[in-house]
Amino acid sequence: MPRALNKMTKGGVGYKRPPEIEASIDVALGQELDEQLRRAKIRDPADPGYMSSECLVHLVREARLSGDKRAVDRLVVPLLSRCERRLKRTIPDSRPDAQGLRDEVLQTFCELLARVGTNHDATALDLFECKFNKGLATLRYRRVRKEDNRGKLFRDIGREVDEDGQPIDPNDTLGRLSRAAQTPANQEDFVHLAEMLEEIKKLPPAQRKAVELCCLQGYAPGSEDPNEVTAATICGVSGTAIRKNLRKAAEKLKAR
Amino acid sequence: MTANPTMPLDDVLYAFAMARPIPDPGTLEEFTRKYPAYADELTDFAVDLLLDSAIEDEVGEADDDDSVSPAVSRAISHFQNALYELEKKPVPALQAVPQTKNPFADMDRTRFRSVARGLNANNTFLIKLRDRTIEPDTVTSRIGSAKRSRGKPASRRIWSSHTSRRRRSSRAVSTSNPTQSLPFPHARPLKRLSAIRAFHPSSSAIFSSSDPS
Repeated sequence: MPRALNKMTKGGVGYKRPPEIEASIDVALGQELDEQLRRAKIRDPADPGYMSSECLVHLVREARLSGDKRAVDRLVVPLLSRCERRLKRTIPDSRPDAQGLRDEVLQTFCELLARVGTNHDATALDLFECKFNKGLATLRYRRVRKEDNRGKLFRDIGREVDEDGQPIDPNDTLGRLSRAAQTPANQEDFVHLAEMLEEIKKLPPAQRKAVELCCLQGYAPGSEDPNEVTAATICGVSGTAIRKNLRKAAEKLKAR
Repeated sequence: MTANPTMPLDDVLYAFAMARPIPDPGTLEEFTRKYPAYADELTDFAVDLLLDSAIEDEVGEADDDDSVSPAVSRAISHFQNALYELEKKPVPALQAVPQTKNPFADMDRTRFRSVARGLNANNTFLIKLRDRTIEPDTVTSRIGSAKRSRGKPASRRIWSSHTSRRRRSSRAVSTSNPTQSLPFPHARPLKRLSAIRAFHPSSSAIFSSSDPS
């Protein structure tokens, strides 16, 4: 049985891991370090040997608490690699100083890990054992909001035009989606965004990817500068293909 | 629901993140009503979580080699430095405090007053003693010795166990809030506050009790 979590919810009840996480921790605790490490390196969640990040956080904490320095040193590498990969997705290179922001979030996470086993408060890690991505999102949000003004960072995708100079989305459906993701000044934008994201999930993969990269992460569809990272370079297609997918996505989202 | 400005923003964000797998407008509405001071932050964070949930993890091949990226390398180095710093300046471990039974826990009003009489103290004084709002070390020796020598045996035991426990707690937990308890000479004048009389309908009974000092 994994060690109970200490952090309290707003109702005064302790945090509880989802049952499937508890079960995977139980299994992992019974395995040798080499096997834990092998599983921690698997990156495909569909792989039967895949170890959830929540479970990996627990193993590192347990190793810290039991003073097993060798286990900490070995397990912390795949854990931080996972953090880095996730941060690369959620703090895209389209942001100024993206690498600096990612480094700072990683460092904050490391400081939390270092507190485990000391008398310093490390209960913030409890969230990482329940919902790892949300824990990371919280750290990222706290760091980014200090200097963030997303409205300045994202391009207005609603103004994008195709090769003929025609707007790719005459109804500005994508423009509103993009603005809601950039400047969430009110709950109306949040509601709109929540509805649109549900619809975006139903789009074909190529269109969904184009919308995600351009409207939600702020990448340009394409660029004449070969060194600029754009949705086209990320997907390995031309800027025209990305714009075509955006146009199709806009038509579907408009008709929803 | 009422506003709760005392809850730190981080805790509110954690609670919000845990409330639903994917935040929905209802949950956001509930939290912004409960924590209106954080409405902007919550809305902003809700959008962040939404976008986060829309971005899937990158699927790739397993990392077969032990090479790490420069960013992870820097993070590991930071982790080791943080460990070193924490070990260099350890927080003094809290000394375990023996958990004795609170002698006031099972007392009804009659018994409480009887103990107060046994100690030759008024009820207000004993209430402050019970609530640990008086630093036991600041009680004058005359009062302390009176309680030890003249009070009834049961009352003397209560005085002795409760104050000694308070002293142990004070020494063990050095970070306790010093504003929560008052030195005895500062605690006494509070009985004269008319505000207390107005607030407590039964205050006249309290103040009519004999004061041993």
